[in-house]
Amino acid sequence: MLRFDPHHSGSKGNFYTVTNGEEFLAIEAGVSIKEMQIASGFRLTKLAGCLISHAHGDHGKSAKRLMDSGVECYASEETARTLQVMGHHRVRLLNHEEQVQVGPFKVMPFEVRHDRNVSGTMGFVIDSNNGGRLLYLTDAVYFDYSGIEGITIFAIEANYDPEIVKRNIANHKLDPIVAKRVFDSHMSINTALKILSSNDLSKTEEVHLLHLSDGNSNADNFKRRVEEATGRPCFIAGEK
Amino acid sequence: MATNNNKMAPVKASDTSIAKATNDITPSLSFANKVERQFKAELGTRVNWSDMQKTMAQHLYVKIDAALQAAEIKRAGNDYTKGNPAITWANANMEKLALDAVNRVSLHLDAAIANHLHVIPYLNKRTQKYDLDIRIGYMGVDHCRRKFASEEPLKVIYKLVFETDQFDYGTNDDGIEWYSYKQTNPFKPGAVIGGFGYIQYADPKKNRVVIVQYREFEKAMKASKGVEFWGGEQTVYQNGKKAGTEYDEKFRQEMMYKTVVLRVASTIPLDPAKVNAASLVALEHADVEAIEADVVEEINQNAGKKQLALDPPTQEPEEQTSTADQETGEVIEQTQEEEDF
Repeated sequence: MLRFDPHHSGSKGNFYTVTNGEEFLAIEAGVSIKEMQIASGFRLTKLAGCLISHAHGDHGKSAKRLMDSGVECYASEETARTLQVMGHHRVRLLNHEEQVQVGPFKVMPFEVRHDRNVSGTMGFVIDSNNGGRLLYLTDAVYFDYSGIEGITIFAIEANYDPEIVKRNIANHKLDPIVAKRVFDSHMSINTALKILSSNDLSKTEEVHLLHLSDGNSNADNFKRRVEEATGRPCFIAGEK
Repeated sequence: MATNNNKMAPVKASDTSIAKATNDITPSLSFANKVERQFKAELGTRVNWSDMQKTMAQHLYVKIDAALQAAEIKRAGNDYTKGNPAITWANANMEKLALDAVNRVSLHLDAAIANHLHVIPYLNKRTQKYDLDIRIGYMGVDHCRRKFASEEPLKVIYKLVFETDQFDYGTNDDGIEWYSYKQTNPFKPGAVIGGFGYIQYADPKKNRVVIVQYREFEKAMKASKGVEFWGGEQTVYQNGKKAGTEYDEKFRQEMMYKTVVLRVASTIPLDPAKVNAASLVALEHADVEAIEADVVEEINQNAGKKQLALDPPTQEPEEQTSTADQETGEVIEQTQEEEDF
């Protein structure tokens, strides 16, 4: 049975793992190796691999060190180039909508629209060999797809609430320049709710909201809205 | 073959109803009158413009007309947009324009002054009309911030600081903020390292020095979606083929100056009792809302439209909590040791 653990989530660094109960797959390498070691109980070498969604530091800064320590990292060519790991013998390139097998996990990568200055950003659908399907989608403005069946775990970004952003601008708590970037490169709670409503929830067991902005989100409100809309438990990544 | 007039050569913006003025009045005055009528139709209230404001409305007409013509030339020459309706007065959303024009004129923004107002036409795909976004320029922000300040400053100075300049600032024993600035090499000043503003009031104790660090330029540069204004590496073409890239500075220095003006002017407190102050704050943030609207439209157009070709998910094995030993028939409790990550 598939399990998702959000160890670190947000602009300070991202590191998640999924497991089928026996083997582990990491998603993102955006924290230090030491932090990954602690989160993994010092079992990094047991990882079947690590998927990296894009080249921003909070997602890929430790990719090279992770590969140096023996873990294969999977990313788009653009991401690998930007992270300067193209020649590394442990880098594995992902192509849009071309499924790969990583240990006991089938990974379907797909391109997503994130920051216009960063190309090759990807999200993933991950199937476990013993059941369970995860949709992982963060640092995306929206999701191109709908109608995906059998998702047991949603792990999706809900970075901001547009109303909170506007209030923060009016109260001079948020620079309009930053607000423009937020709108143009991250996912709002409204968009996250639309994604949940446009995909099959019949097998869904839980929803994880990722990458909440410190100042532009309201965790309790987001959790309540998701639980009301889906009838499934919602967890906020980073909250204990 | 079917033809579409919109795909033809650019249409002159003035080939339209607004500009078909009678022999008695100019197109710009016709525009001012039409805005007044439209405003009354929308809100049921008459606009009581002074002669000066009427002149400002005429200036706005000239600015919009020029913007329409420039945008129409671009549209007709671009493969991506040439199928769109012609960018002319006839295809402009006059309802929105009337409200916005009255608002900008009531803020005493004069389109004849450089960088007070910029006009950008956006095609509204639903109505197939162009919404004319009348954005406030950085000198417009400066003008309004002074005009609607809780206490109007005597003077506001904006400066870029170069690496060869000498700059210092502080607060003297009387609690008055001061600065000293000297350009040591005006002809070869080196790179820009930051900027500052000095806001001077009748009571010198209220004077303010506002420092604009270089990282403010970097933030503004990062937020800009391309190299059109801030410059950067641009593709060079030779004989119609890509032949590498070269650095082009474009309007980088003016963009830095603009950043200094916007950062410094935004620190001048507005008087909430002045009717236009609230509308000014909304206007200063208009481009944020325009970006949000663009993103929402992009989401509506693209989100959830594709299907992902996935294998059916693997079925989970039946959960077994106990089983029987095949030889003895004894029930054996299953315990699964799951490693926590």
